[in-house]
Amino acid sequence: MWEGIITGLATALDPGNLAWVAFGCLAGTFIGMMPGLGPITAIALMIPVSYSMEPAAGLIMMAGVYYGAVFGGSTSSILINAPGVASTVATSFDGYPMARRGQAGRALALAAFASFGGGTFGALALMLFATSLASLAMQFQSPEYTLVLVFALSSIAAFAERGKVLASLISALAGLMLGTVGTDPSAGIQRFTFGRADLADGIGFVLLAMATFALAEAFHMLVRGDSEPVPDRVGKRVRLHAGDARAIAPTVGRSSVLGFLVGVLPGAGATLASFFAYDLQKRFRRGDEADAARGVAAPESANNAACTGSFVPLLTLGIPGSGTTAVLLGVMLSYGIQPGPRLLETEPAVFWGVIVSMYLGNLVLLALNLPLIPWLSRIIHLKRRVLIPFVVAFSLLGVYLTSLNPFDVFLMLGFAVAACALRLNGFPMAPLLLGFILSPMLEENLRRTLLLSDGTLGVFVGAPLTIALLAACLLVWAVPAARLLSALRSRNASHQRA
Amino acid sequence: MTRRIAPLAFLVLAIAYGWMANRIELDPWSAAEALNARTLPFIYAVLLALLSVPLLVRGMQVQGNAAQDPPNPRDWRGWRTAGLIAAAVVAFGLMIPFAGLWPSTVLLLVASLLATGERRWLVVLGAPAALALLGWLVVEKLLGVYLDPGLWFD
Repeated sequence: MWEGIITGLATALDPGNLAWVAFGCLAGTFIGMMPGLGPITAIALMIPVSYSMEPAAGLIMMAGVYYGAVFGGSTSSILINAPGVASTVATSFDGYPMARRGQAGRALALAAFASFGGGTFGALALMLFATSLASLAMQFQSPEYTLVLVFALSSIAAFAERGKVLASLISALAGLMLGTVGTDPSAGIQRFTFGRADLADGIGFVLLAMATFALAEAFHMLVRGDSEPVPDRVGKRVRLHAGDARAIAPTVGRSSVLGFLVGVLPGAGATLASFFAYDLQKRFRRGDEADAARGVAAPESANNAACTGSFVPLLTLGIPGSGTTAVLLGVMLSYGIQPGPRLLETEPAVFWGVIVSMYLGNLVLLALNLPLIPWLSRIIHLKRRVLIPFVVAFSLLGVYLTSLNPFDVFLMLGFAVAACALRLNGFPMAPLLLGFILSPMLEENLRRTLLLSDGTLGVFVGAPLTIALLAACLLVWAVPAARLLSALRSRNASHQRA
Repeated sequence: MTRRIAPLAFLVLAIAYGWMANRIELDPWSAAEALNARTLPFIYAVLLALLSVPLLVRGMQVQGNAAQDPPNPRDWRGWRTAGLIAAAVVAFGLMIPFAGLWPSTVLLLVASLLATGERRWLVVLGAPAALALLGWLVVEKLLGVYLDPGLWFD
């Protein structure tokens, strides 16, 4: 292995390849910051650039683009509450309120350092455990995936704010319902499309995310008459304070491990990892000032570790675990490289070069982005009367450029108005988005499971792994059940006193 | 009253969605499957209906207790501005096929800036034009994405 790492270091530290990593990180960051353009788009846009390059250099640049785009998405999530990609939605939960409180620079710095921590852990884990984890991931079949998804949905109830369990569950159900709009993937039947071809492909994630977060936030700010955000006092140099570093270190460690393991599972990816990490972090809330910092660090370290984890099935099995790695697989194939168990033997320079460059990519990303943070955080200084129209325009541009269909503009407006009304009535929007993301995955895996088991549900208790996952789901429901019981007890006690 | 509207809306949504789920046309093979295109939507509809009821009941229990209602918007001017921006978004969507994306974006921004109360002409006219120019350069020239110029400029 060490020989391989040295080979990888030699490849990645080549000045030309280093320059490509830096270029990739920078290009990825800027593309990722644009609403609607995520890592897949960023990598796809860079394919023509990579054609003229050596395979190792091309793939190293792509790794930089990938990381850069994920971090760029976090920037727009934190600054204007516009998560352009699903994996940065959870970052906005605590990041955006921090920015509104005058801590945009701090939130961005936390995101950068947490991403670095997650990426570093991911790269190390990829080096050490890639082959053994790949065989573990192969044990995850449709029943296990179904239960992982049920666990993710169950965690909505467990981690909902006090008094908002029902509202959160209703939001999640609404998201699950929205996820069924479009053509049924198995039978090709149109569902809830009202005969409109515009809805045949379903509702786009970018559309729903921009509508429920960015556009709805703009309307919400107007109708609530929110005060101007507090100006940020970030200096020209951004450093992580020792207190913040101490506060987020355990969170980054936990979330990185969780993120990497979730990322290894084909199809799960950075989105699920970031939500899981954020939910897990909520369990460790201490009620102090650093909770928000931990809330930013958890999803950021998890999504970066998951990005690296998704390379495990790609490099070792030749299976793309996410949309982004599927595009990367295409790039590899165009170079005549066949990823899989024999990649290590046939192309050691590429295999180790990509792994080592991931770590270097993280380092370069940190070095490039920290100086940018003071400039980026100035966006939040804009007066609300200027900021709101630009948030509206950016979110609409992001959605229109994804589909080039004016119908999506009207659909987005409808969702934004509904989301604003729901927020005013205390319904959280994050469960809706999570339900929407998980809906097609849940249906596909459940259907496949039942097809293979001839319609019997016994398959969910047929193996130790499924039993363990089922137990985890039940355990998660124990939290809201205990809360409900204690609420009922206290109500009874107060009735008796009265 | 607002506490009852949202659960009631969800209840109506659940009934309508469940009714539509039952009307999804299935071919004979799909109909025989344990889980077909109707199954999960119908389950979601039932669950949503079941969850909306306790929320509706809770909303009725706090009826008349103004302190427990969601906070009322403080300022009707905010609603007016939001309405104007929503109208600008509708106009933006309608204009794209005729004027193309970038001129429509300029008009959307100018209208939204005026609606929010911005009166500095450099900002009202300059910033939208700069954004559209930058967008055109990045999207169409740098990234090579072709955008329909619109019927008026075709």
